Amino acid sequence: MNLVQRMRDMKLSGKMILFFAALVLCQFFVSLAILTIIISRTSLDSLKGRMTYTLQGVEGYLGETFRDLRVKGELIAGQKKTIEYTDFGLKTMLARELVVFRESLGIDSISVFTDPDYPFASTEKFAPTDPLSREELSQAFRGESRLFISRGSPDPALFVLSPIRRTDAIIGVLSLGLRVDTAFMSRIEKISGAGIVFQFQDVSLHGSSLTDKGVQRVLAAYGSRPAGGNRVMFAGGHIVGSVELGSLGLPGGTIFCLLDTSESARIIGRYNLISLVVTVLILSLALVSGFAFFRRAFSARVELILQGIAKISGGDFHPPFQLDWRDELGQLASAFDEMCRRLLVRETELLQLREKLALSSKLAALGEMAAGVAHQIRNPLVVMKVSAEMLRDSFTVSERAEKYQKLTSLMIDEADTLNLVVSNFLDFARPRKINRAPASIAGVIDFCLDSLPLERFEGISVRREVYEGLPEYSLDRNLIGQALSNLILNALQASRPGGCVEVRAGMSDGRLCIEVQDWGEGMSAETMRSMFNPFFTTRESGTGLGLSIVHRIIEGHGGAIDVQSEPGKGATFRILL
Amino acid sequence: MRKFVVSSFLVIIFGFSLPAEQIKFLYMKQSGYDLGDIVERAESFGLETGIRVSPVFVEYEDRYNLILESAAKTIPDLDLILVDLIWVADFAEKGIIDALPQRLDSRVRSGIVPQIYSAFSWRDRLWAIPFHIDFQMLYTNMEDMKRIGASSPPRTLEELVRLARKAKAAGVVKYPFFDSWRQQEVLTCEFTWLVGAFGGSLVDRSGKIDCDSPAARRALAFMVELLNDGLMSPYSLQSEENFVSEVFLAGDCMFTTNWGFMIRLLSKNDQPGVTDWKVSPIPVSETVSRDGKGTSSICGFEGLTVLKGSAHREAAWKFATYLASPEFQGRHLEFMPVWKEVWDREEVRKEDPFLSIKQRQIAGLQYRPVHPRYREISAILQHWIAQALHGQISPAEALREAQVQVDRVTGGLP
Repeated sequence: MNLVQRMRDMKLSGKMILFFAALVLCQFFVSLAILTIIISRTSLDSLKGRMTYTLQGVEGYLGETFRDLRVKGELIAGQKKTIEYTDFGLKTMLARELVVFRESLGIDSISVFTDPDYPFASTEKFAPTDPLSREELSQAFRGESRLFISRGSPDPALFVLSPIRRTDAIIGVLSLGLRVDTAFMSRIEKISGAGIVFQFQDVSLHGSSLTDKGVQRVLAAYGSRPAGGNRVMFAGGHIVGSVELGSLGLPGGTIFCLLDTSESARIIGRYNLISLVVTVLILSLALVSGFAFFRRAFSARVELILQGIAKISGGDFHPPFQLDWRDELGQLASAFDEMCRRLLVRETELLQLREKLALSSKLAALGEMAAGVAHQIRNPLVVMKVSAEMLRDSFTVSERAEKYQKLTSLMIDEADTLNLVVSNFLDFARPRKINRAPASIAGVIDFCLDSLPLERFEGISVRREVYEGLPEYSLDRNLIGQALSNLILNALQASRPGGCVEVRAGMSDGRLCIEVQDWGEGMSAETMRSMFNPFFTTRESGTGLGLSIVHRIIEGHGGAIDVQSEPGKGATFRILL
Repeated sequence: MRKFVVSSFLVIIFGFSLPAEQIKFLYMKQSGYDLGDIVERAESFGLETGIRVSPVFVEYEDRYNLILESAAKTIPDLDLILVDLIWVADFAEKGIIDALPQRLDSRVRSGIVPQIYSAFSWRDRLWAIPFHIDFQMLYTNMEDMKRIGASSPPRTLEELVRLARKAKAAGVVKYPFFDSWRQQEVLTCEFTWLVGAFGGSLVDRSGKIDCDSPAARRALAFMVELLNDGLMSPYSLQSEENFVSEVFLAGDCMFTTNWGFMIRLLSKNDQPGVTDWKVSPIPVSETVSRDGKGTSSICGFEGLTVLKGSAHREAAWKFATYLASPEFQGRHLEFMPVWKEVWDREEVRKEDPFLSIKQRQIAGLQYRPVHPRYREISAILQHWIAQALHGQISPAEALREAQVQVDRVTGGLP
C-alpha cells in the first residue's frame, strides 16, 4: 500500500492531525525564514546606524581631544613657572613641573623647546624631533600653535605645540605629546564601542580588540575610499566606517571604525534557536491540545453518533442520544432522536395495522367460508322448517297429537335457532354497505334500549347518560344501533343481578365518544386480546361473532373501539367516531 | 597643738587645690627643631619639675608682633620666647626682655664660642641663651664642576666667578649662580656676608652702622656684576631660600649659598637632580685672604629668653636652660649645637661629618647691625640694594642713599 493509499485510508482524525502538523511546520519555517531575514536586515541597519553614531562619537572624541590638548598646551605654556623656569634655564625644575602637569592632565609627554633642534626639558624620551616636527617647531617659534602627527618611535604621536611667551617675546615652545599607540586605540575603542584602526603613512595601529590579520582582511575588503566624506559599508564581516583626521585639522591620518557583525550573527542564531525551541514547544502544545480538542469536540462525538446510527440501523428506534449538545453535532443527534421517535410511532402503528390486517384477512376468509356454509345449510334448513311447519299444521293424528305438536314446534324452534345462527354467519360474512345519514346518537341509543328485551334481565338496571349538546352525526343508524345493541346485551349478560349498565355518549378530543360500562366479572388480558376474533366466546351458547361484527361496523365507520377491563371490576367499551 | 592641726589642714587643702606652675613658650613653626621634639622636651620637663610648659607654635612672620602684644599686657601671657638675634636690641631697649641672670650668663659665656654668644650681646649683657644657630655656607654642584674640569669648590670669590664663567661659556648651565636675593631680610643677610667677604663690616669700629664703606660698595658691585654677566640667575631676585634649595637640588645651578637646612635636604634627596655636591665655607675675596682660608657668612641665630613681665620668670629660665642643654642638643645633631663641649665629643664628630666645616664657617661669621631700630635699618638696606640689583640705580648711589637714610634712623650714632 503506497503512501497515498495509506493517506486516503487514514481516519479523518489522523488526516486532520497530519494536516494541522504540516500547516504548523510550514508556518514555522516561513516564520523562521522571515524572522531571520528581518532580524538580519534590522541588525545590519542597526549596526550601520550605530556606526554613524560611532563615527560621530570618534570624531567628537578626537576633536575634543585635540581641543583639550590645545587648551592644556596653552594653559601650561602660560603658567608662571613654565615661563620663568624656561626663561631662567631651570631645566630640571621645569621638567619636574612638567611631570606634575603630565600626571595631573593625563598627557603622555610634555617638552619645552628653547630652540627647534633639541628639547630643553622633557618628561619623556619621546619628543617631536624628526624633520617634520622641527618644521612644525619652527612655525611654533614664529608664534603659531601647531597640531600634527609625528611618525615617532615606536608609535606615532600626536603633538600640540604652544609658544611660551614672556611679555611679547617667544622664549620657547611647549610640546604636548599623546602617543597614538595601542592604549590610545583602546581608549577610543572603549568610548566608541568599536574596533579602531589608525593609519598614518605606512603605519597601521589597532586597538586590543582586533588582530593584525583581521584588520588586513577587513581593510582589504573595504577597498579604496572615495575622496571626501565618511563611508559606512559592510566589509569582511564588519561594518566599517572611517574618519579622515584631515577634517579635524590633522592631515595625514585616518581612523577606521570596525563593528564586528559576528556577535550580531551569534545573537541572531541564538534568537533563531530560541525561536525554534519556543515554536516547537508551542506547536507541540498546539498539536496536543488541538488533538485533544478535536478528539473531544469532534471525533469522539462523531463516533458516538455513528454508534447511535448503528443502533438505529439494527432496528432499535428508541432515541439513542438524548444529549444536551447545542452545536451542529448536537442538532444532528437531536434530529436522529426525533427521527427515532417518529419511527417508533410508525412501527407501533404498523404493528397495529399489521394485526388489523391479519384480523381482517382472517375475518374475510371466515366470512367467505361462513357465507358458503350458511348458504349450503340454510336452504335445507328452510326446507326442514317448512316441512316441520307443514307437519305441525297438517298433522291430524289426534292421538298423541299434543305430543307431536310439541315435537314439531321444538323442531321449528330449533330450526329458527339454527337459522339465526346462520343469519349471524351471513350477517358477519356479508359485505356491509354503510348508509350514512345525519342521525341523533341519543335517538340511536334510545332505539336500542327500546328494542332490547331488558325485562329478561331482572335486577339489572340500565342507565343512559347522553350529553345533550351533541350534534347529529353522519352514520348508519341501523349498523351503529346493531353494534350498540350487541355491546349493551353483552353488558347485561355480564352483569350480576342488582348490577347496572351505563350507556354514555359525549365528546372526546373532537370525536364522538360512546361508552358502555358494566360492573360485572370483567376480562382477563388474554380475553381482551382475543375478544374481537370471530367465534371467540366465553359463553356456551354464543356464536362468538357479536364483537367481531361490532368491530367490523365501527371500522366501517372509520372509527375505533377499545376496551378497558380488569377481572372482577367490570368492563368499559368505548367507541370513538 | 591646735594651731598645728589647723595649719596642717590648710596646707593639705591648699596644697592639693593650688594649680601647678605653668609657663607659656612661644616657638616658631617652619624651621629649627622638630615641633614634636619640643613638645616631648616640654613634657619631660613637666614630669621632672612639675612645671607645666605649654608650647605655642607660630609662623616666623607672626612672632614679632605677637611678642609685642603679649609684652604690652600687664602680665604677659607669654613667659618664654624664641627670639631672633636681630630683635634682641629692639626688645631689650623696649624693656620687653630681661638679660640673662648673672649666674646663667657666666655659664653660657663659658660654654659657647664668642662668635655665637656675641650675637645675643648688647651693651655688654647677654639677652638670650643661644639655642638654634644657623648660618649660610657655599653649596657646589660637583657634576657641573666636573663638566668644566674642576674638582673642588672654589677657595676665593674670584675663583668662584671664574668657574661660573667657564660653566656658562661651556653651556653647562645657563645661570651658574642661584641665590635668594629677593627684597627681604635675606637680602640684608647676603649683602652682609659679601661685605665681610670683601674685608668689611656693616658696623665700624666705633659701633656706627657703615653701609657705604669700600667693602660694601665692592660687595654690591659684585652682586650687580654677577647679574649683568648672566652668572647669577635673575630669578634670584624673587626667590626665597626654600626655592633656592629646590633649584640646587634639581641641579639647575652650580653654586648657591644657603642655610644649614640644605645639608639635610641634600642628604635625604631622592628626587632626580644633583647627586654629587659639596658644602664648604663661603670663600672671601683674594684681596682679603690670599691663602684661600678666609671665610665669610651670615649668622641667623635664635635664642631663648624670658619676658620681663613674666610671672614665672624663674621657671621660664629653668625650662630655657633645660631645653638648650648640651644633653638635648647632643641628641639632635641635625642642627648645629651651640655648646663647645658637644662639638668636642667623638661620637658627635662621627655623626656630623660637616661639623668641622661648620666650625670653620662659624669663625667667619658676619653680624648684621645690632640696633634697637634694626628693622628699619634693614628695610632701608633691602630697598637700596634691590634698586641697584634691578638696575634702577648704581651700586654706589644706592649705598650712598642707604647710608643717608640709615643715619637718619640712628642719628649717626652707634
